[in-house]
Amino acid sequence: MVVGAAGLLAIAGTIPAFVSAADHLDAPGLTPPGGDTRLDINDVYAFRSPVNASNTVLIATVNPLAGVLNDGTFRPGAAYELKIDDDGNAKEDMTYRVEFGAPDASKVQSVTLRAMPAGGAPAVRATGQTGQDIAVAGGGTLRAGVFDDPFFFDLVGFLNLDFCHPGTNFFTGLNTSAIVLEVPSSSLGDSEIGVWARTMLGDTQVDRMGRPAINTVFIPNNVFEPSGTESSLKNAFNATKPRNDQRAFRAEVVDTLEIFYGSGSPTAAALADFLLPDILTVDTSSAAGFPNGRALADDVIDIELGLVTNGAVTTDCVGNDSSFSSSFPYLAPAN
Amino acid sequence: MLKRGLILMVLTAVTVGAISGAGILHPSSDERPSSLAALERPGIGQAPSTEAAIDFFADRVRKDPRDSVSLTLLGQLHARRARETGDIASYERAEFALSEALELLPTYTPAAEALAEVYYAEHRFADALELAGTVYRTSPGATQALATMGDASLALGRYRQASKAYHALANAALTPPALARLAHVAWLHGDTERAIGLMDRAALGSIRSGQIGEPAAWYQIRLGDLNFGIGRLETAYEHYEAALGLFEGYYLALAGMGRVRAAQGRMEEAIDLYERAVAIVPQPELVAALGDLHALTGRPDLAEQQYATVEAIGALAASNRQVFNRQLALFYADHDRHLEDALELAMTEIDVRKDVFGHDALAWALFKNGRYRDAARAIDAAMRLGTRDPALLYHAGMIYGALGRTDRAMELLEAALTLNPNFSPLQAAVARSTLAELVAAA
Repeated sequence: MVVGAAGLLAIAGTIPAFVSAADHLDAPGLTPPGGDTRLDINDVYAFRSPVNASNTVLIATVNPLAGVLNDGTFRPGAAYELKIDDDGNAKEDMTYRVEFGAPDASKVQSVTLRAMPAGGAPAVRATGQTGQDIAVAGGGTLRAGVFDDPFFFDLVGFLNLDFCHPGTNFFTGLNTSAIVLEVPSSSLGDSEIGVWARTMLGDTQVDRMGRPAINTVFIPNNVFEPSGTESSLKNAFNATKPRNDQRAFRAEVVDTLEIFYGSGSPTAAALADFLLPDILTVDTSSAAGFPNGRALADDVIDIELGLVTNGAVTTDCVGNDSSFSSSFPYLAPAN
Repeated sequence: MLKRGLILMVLTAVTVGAISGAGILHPSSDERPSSLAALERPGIGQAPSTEAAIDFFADRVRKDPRDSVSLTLLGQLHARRARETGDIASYERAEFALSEALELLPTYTPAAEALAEVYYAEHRFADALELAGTVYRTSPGATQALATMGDASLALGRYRQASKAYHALANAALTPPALARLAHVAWLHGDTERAIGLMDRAALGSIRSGQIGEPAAWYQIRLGDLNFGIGRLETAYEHYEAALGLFEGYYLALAGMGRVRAAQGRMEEAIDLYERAVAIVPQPELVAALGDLHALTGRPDLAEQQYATVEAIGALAASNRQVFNRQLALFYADHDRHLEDALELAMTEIDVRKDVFGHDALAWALFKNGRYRDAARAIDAAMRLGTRDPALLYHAGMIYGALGRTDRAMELLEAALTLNPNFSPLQAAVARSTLAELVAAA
């Protein structure tokens, strides 16, 4: 989720300075790491299809404030991936890779879906255009386009560390670009899987995400470890593969949890081992919601707040205000 | 008429080609800047309207006046609008929104960083340095604050401090804006080739990261300027054109293209391009340049119209004058008008901004007021870093010539004309004739 000072302000880019033609020598403001908001992952969802209990729905939303500070298209030449680990070793066994062509005059783009099994040959499973339902070979449907941003959270309250006065959903009325993929659960391997999304530019991993808020809450700098207390590890986190999360970031996660659980707490340690690697675990045979996968209306913030703060804070007083659909593609239409 | 129409069509077609990624048809060259090549590939987004985004966030702020995040984004967008339109009042709106955000959330680094940048843009260099310095001291990860510290230090003539800040910035994150600042420092110190290389890297980084709109176009403008300064006219033109492709209606791109055409002696095209530029943003320097082109093509009445406009701009609000002091001082000095005002403006300017070109403007105004020794002192200060800028060297040459330092004068005038024989429609001719006189008398 793109939240917090660095994330959201990165969207706007920062202001360049004005000078006259003779000496407009002042460079634009600093671009965010990665630079392109089209490659910023907002959220990842995985849930059993409400239409067909044998199917799983995978959603990755990217491009925060789509349509306001950018035109809501996907980046051509980049790869948007949904990765599946089906044997619990934090390594992908299957990658669904989505790529886009250049937008036409109406901003419509071609879409191509490839299934890339680990150690196997990639195969094109779907081709079509953004804004339409595309049949997936071997079963399932794909759709990519701009939708209402399903996320709900009191961002301003978070920055103030002051919830429930009264609590406003910052994301009301905002849009996001999303890739929605519904496939037979059997094609994902085991029923117990791990899901994460990543964006790639050439060989570079630009962003990745599994569970909500891991980078935002635990990785410096954040509201608990603001700028000045230690160096930022956010870029490092975005560039790391989940298989390396424990080694690279366990200490950071434990640090933050110990604020609330006490130094040396075994609960903090256990939680850290649950939260890392940053992979959204889901039993596709179960209809249970977060932390079993993540459905659109699940209040992940409330759940995580309670977990992280050891019950000290249990809610941001903000609930879902989007009208999700009970049929594909499930997200509410763009505002 | 028909010829101009055809030329316009070609210009438009090339611009459209750039947008659609169809490729700009130019002969290939080993030296082709990598950023221009990168612009020919698809994937360049188009920027949605800044005004629409401003309305969007203004609406959110109306609904929730305590939304410090929306206030900050709103402030940043007002500042971006100021840059796109040249409307300095937008900076005041930016200041208001950002100050509000900081009132609500005093520790919100992005708002503080943005406000420091606005101060810088308004030429409140000391305020910018102070605020950026405060932010950086409390948040060593605040790289934008570091950049502003460097920029403000540079404007105040504190070159060592500026270099320190920029190198710390480059170490923290070698991003396009960091590279652009390193390029600027290289250029100030006379290494234009290195500056071009760094700026091309910056431009390439900007394109690859998907940057769009005016910020992306800015890099191409700088590349245009750097190449123009060393007489690489066609390359300069390509860069300005690329800037126009990245940001439709970019007045600086149009003016840059006009500048190249004027240097190439293609006066009617140059006039047309400048007219389009000043119709969008009537910046004094561009209006003056248009006047010069009218003067050169035998239209003294039209020239005078433009010059009168420049003077009118100078008479406007105090805030405008602060930002345009230097341009006005140079305009008056170049055209031998209101020479006392030229000096006053240049002296006011050097109080606020003590960089190379502040000293240069003062030197030129002093020279035109007959104070040759004072002018020499000022121009020496201006040339201290070794900047290879044709206008700067021309000013120095004229000053030393007036002091009877003939050899030095010839050296400097020759250097100016070698860099770019047509660095300015009117002034290059003066450089040439003065050099000829000095050579004849030697």
